[in-house]
Amino acid sequence: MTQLDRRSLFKSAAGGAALTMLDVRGMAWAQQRLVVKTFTGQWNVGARETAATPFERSTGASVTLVAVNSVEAIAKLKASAGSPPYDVLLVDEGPRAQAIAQGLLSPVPLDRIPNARNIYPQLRVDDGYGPRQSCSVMGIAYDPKRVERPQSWADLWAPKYKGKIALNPGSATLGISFMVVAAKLNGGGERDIGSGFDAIKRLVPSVVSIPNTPAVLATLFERGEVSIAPLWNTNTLALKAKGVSIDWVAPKEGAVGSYGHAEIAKGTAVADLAVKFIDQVLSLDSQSGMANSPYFSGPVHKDVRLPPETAAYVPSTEEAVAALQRLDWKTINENREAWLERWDREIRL
Amino acid sequence: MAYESTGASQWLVAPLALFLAVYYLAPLAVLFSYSLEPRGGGALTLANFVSFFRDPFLVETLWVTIRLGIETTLITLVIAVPFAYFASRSEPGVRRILIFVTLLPLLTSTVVRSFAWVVILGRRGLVNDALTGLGLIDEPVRLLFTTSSVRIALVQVHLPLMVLPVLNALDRINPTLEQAAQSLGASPAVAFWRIALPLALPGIIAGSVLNFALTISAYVTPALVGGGSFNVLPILIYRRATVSLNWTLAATASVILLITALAVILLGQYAAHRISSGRYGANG
Repeated sequence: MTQLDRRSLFKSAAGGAALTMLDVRGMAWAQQRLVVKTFTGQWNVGARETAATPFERSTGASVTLVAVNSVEAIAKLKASAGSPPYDVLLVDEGPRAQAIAQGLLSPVPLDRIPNARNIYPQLRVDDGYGPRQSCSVMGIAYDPKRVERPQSWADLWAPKYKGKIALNPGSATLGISFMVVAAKLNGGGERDIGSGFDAIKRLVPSVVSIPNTPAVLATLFERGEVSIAPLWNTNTLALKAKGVSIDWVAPKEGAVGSYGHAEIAKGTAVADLAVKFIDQVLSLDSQSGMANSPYFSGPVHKDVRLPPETAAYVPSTEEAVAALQRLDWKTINENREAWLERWDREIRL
Repeated sequence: MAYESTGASQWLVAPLALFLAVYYLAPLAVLFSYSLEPRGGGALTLANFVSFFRDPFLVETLWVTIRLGIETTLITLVIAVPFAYFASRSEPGVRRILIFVTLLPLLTSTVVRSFAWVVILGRRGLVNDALTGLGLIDEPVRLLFTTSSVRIALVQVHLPLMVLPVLNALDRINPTLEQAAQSLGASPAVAFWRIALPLALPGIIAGSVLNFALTISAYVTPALVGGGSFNVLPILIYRRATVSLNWTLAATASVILLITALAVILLGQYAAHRISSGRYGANG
């Protein structure tokens, strides 16, 4: 049995460190590889089918898709700045704004992306960073077998839904979006969130649970523990397709449109490939593929046309897109930390 | 019997040493540096720790976490010790089954487990259905997304980590000691209480300390079973680190959690050492 002492340990570590000087990334024999961060769940599958596979066929590069939630992905970018774990990111606008503020993204040359010209005019971005490429709509999911169909956001505060509501945590996009909506219903907004907090505190006695992930929320709906909750159209439709008794409605004050952007990480080694991939994501085929069942991702390409039963849930026309509420994520992000602190302290079931 | 290492064989530890240096020591150093610098950089200071303990909400969260750790450990202890005793005195076949049963929760994913808790503890779940069916309650009781449900779920997951060390300690006790006690007139219960338990104490302490350290740092189970308004320190750290990107606070809280766990572990080791050396002398 050998005696291990400090000196031999340090000597070994120093010797081993020399091995790590070999950098294999630049070796020419490696096929071009693109790492894309996608949304989780069905959208990861959709990205493979509608974007990655056609892209691999047309360029010969290999695409690795990583399904990670946007907030965590930005944290990971920050943790390894300079050597990003992803080249392209499909991210929610909230975390995207944070990433830009922290200098983690690279500007996207829209002039080198032909399909960017086909985006709805009011959805085009001009801040130099990545274009919008998908839309999730937050409305109200409800169980038609157990509760009445709600008509508006304000309905949630009605006595008929007491003891049947689930909310989303203040750390999630859904939770924050709902709180801003609640503020707007009560005379406030992104710049005056106090009325939003008060409205949610008034709702708390009617709330059954604040599940931490949409997966747990799905379980609660399925088990009948919860019958109504603010939720994305995509998650709701996916559950409905699996046979859960659930439906979705766009409230009359306006459902909230939340856009996913396609971004390029700063420090990526394959910038040209990344730009080409974004063009693929914005193509009519990819956009239509993602807009239809089973992905239901709201398209930004103005020529996507959907069958009527899908169009009821997915905004694909000029009017539908115009009817969506859009939130001021720049202001939200400036206050996000403070709101999260306040949420943790004040919202208790 | 130890002998000095020769020059060449020292290098066998190189892979482990490198692994530890890169994946363990370096990140820890980064963590400490974040907690010792003010947000945005600057000179080393303990100000972050001071402001942590000045904030009643953060102190309360720390206390809730520690209290959950103590409660869960005690409950696990009360279940694990008799169970381990029974297993150690059983035939090998029965014993194998018992160990497998305790390990079962670790073999299923946390998502599946939390789904199962919803089915069992939900308002329309098994427990509530049974209670209303038996007429003991009129309305379903809220069992899920409470501190109790988190405690139950944590006990279930940590039980094997208490049973195994205790079982190991009990196995090492010479069974003739208890037989001798019984032949002198002691009942099996007294034999357990006065012979087996004291001898197994170091194992019990080891299991408890491990349990406590794991419970106070548990994230997934409290997050899934406790719901979005249940706050323990690991959940707070996760949110501050990934949502608020407030790495200073996250690092400070992490260091505090680390020191708490280390303190308890060291205390436990000292206590176990005192007990076993006191009994057998220095040659134990």
